[in-house]
Amino acid sequence: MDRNYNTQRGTYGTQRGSYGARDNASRQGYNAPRQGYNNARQGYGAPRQGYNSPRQGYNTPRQGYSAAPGPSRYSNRESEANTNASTELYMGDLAPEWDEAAVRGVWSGLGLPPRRVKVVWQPGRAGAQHQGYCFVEFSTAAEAERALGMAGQPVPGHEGKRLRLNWAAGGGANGPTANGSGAGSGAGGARGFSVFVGDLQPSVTEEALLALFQQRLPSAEHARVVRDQQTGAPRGFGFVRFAAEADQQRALREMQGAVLDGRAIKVGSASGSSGTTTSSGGGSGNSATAPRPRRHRAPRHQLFALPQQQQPPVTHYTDRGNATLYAAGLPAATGPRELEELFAPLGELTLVRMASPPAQGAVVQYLSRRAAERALRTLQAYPLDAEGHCLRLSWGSATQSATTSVTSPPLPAPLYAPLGLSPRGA
Amino acid sequence: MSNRDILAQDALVGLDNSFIKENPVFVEGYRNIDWKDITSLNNVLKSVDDLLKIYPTPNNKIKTTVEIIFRQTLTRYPLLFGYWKKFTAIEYQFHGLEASLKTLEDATEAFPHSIDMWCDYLRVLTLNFPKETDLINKKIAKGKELIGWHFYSHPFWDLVIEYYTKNGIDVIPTYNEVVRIPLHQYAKYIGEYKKILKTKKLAAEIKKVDQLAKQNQALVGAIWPYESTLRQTYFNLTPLPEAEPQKWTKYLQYLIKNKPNKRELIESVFERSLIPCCYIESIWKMYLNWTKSLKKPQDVELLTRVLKLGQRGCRVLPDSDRDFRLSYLHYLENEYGHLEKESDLLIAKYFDQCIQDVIKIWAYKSDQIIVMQKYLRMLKRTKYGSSVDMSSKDVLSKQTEYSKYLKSSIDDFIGNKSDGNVELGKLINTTNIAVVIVELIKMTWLVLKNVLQTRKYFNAFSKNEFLKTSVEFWTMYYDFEKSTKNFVKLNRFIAELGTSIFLPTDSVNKILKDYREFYLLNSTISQYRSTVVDEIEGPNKKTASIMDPVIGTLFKADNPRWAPGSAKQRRVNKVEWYKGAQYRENGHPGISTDRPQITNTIIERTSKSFRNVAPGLPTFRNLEKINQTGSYRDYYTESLKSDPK
Repeated sequence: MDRNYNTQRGTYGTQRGSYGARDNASRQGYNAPRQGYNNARQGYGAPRQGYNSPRQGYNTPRQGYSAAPGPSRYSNRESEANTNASTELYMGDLAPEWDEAAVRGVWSGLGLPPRRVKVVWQPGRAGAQHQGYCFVEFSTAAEAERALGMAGQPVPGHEGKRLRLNWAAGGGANGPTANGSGAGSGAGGARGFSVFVGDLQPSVTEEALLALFQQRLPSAEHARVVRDQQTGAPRGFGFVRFAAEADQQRALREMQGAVLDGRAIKVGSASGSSGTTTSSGGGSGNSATAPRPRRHRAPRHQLFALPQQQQPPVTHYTDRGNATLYAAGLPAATGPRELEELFAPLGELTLVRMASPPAQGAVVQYLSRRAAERALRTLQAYPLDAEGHCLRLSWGSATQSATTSVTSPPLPAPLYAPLGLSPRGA
Repeated sequence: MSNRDILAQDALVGLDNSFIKENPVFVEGYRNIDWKDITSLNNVLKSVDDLLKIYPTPNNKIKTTVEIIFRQTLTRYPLLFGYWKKFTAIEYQFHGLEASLKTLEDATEAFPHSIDMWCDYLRVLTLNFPKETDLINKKIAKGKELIGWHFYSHPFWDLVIEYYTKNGIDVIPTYNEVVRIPLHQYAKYIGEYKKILKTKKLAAEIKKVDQLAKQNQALVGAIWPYESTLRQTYFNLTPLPEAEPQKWTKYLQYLIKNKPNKRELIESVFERSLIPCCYIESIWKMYLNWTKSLKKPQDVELLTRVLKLGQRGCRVLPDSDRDFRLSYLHYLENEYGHLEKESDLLIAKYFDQCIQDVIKIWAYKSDQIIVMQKYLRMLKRTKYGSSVDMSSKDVLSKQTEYSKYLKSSIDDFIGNKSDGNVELGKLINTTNIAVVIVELIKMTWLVLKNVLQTRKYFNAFSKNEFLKTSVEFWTMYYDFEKSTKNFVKLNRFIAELGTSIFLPTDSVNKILKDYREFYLLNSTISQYRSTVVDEIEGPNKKTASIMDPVIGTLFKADNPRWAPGSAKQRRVNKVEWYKGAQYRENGHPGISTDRPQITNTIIERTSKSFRNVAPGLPTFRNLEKINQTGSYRDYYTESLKSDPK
């Protein structure tokens, strides 16, 4: 029996080895992989909105211009490549009373007079109420770079305000007005392909995340770890963008469960219900409102996951330090003295206590587990009297609560390394 | 009707069905009564009260029911004086004055040291039956003896004096008595006494009284520090505060040490302490020891008191208190034979009674055996005793008679025809019969020296099921065969240990160790060859049930069921045992039946046997079972679940 068991364990090992990337999903734990994953995605859904909000805002005016879905702001590298260099920055968190002149003043005060400032006004209320952000175009890419470096710094002259900056995804060269005619041009190619990465250690940096993916998928070009807007603490998930769709799909398959900073990461599709990043998009600007065919498919790891061997909860039966036996079915004539005569030769007894009636039993505790096991083996079903009473033994506990686990040696490490924890894909 | 019968009665038996239906609270309360819980008792008695409010003139059936309930309660706990009072009132309502007086009289007998009961009784008696002077005087004398020295007995003395004054009886002797007793209200009686003496102008007496008063005052002053600390002087079912028995013990120790002459006082304090502390073994022991220490040789009256006290203790104390009972039995055994015939008879009588009680309440084998051994020892001394001056013929006939008596008792028990007349027959049960048999064999073998008969007895009794687990019997058998050096039989006996004779591991080990030594010392190599080696390895080998006394005994130590080839035998005997899931799985569910399986032909892709065809899909089976819990009988949890606590 034992031998079979071991062989079988061997089988597990082999299987694990040769499956390779295919079932990296296994490390998700058997119990509720799908659910766990979904939770993560739900969790992802919520921050996404905040994350995307500037872009949505950006889209809004673009729609207003009847522009095609422009290159995502993720794709600044492409846009750099395509448009020499970006000189335009997005600037958010504007005070309500600011207008173009005010923003220009701010930048001039910082020593970087912008070439052009465009505040995005509420539709129909231009000059009166803006949408809280604007675009600032600098003369050179270097200036824009320097300006971006100031992100997070306090705005001089406006207490409590901080610079909130990012690259304007549209790229200064094109400009919102410039791509008005570029409907659909190169939309698919310019778009990045992102995956969601969950279960990150708080210590994981964007560089480390990117490096991990680049080891295997060279087209990984950007990684982002999402942080809490208020506290700045990492929220345990992020996104990795790929240049090639094939790599994105491979990442979904192969990076599942790769270990980063000692924790297995989860990889999921970044396309939420409102997501557009994996959509190949294309077509006219109307596509933003038109129902798009969703290429969402369940990642393969959700179809099957190997179960993980788990330690059962510690009870008087599973506690391997438990040296307490319970003898049941004792005849009335069997008392502590009689039990002692039966049990004492097999090891040092620490306790013999009769159960309170009407239970016809007794607790017998040995000093050592070994003795208890021996007693259980040799005395099980030992006849006690002429009326057919036999000793019936099982593991017991001296107290109702399992105090034995406190005094017993610590439990050993699990017999099996949890399956699939060495990511061959990484 | 004996106490046992009263307790076994079902009070609801005679009731009408309609009545039972109409009073579910009362019926349920009685059916589910927990005699150890005072609130449960109170509830039942309260429902009885309610019942009597609904039926102010109950019929006879209800009356009987109520009476039975009260009797059951008071038989169990005679010290609950509140219930006695209530019962008296109810009896008065049911049957009138005479019955209530009778109840009060019962109360003073069942709870003789209760001031309340005595006062109630005397009050009713003197008020309603003032002409029964003889009875009243008798009862007053009895009351004086029982509670006169009680520290708070002034209501009783007041009653007595009042009665005497009313009926023109001289109170001076009574006062003379009272002023010597350390009472809580001692000053009052001294004042009254002096007043009476003054009116009668007995100046000399007054002086005497003054002196007595001084002494008494000193005594009261001495005991007051103890009396004042006592908190609970009544009986209750709730656990006694721990400090109370200690306070009583200190008080008693002080009295015994410093006032050894105040016997009445000490006895009264003992009796009072045993009202709240009636389940405290140490106080009973102290009381018994003190009473024993009073005894002058040949004083039958004192001896009777000791014996009665011991018996009372044995009956009142919880069954688990062994020390008091064992020491009492020991005392009886020791006393017997050193006194006059009358005393000896008395002791023998109490000894028998105590043994009968004890055998009933102590179920454990070790206790049964000890008690039976004690009983037989005493039996031999009382009924079949012999002394130095008897002729050897007489002695032998006594011993033969004793053996015959034992034999007939055993036969009666085994043949299931105990007629109840034989004293011993009443005591024998399946646990202690081995002791009687061993005694019989001992007599036959060692006293009467009848080896042939002994062997016959062994042959006859060894088939008896009761003796399969008796250490005494088989140790005797082993000794007997050892004395004859019958190694064939001894070898067989050793082999049977743990397979058809089931002794405790400890005894098995001792026998095995002893036998190994004995065999090595007393057997010869040729004997070993012929009886053991040839049987096991020779041409006519009989592998089963032959035990090698040198090697086998070592294997068998600590493992009483070990036998040569036992593993094989077991499998033959129980064909099915290894088929059970519990055995096969051994705590790993599904390991043999639903083992997890994974197939994946692609693993073989680099091997030659992998043909160049599309590999089958991987398959998985029963993987989820690795986290199932094992199946086993957990007697511990089962037992806890069945236990209501």
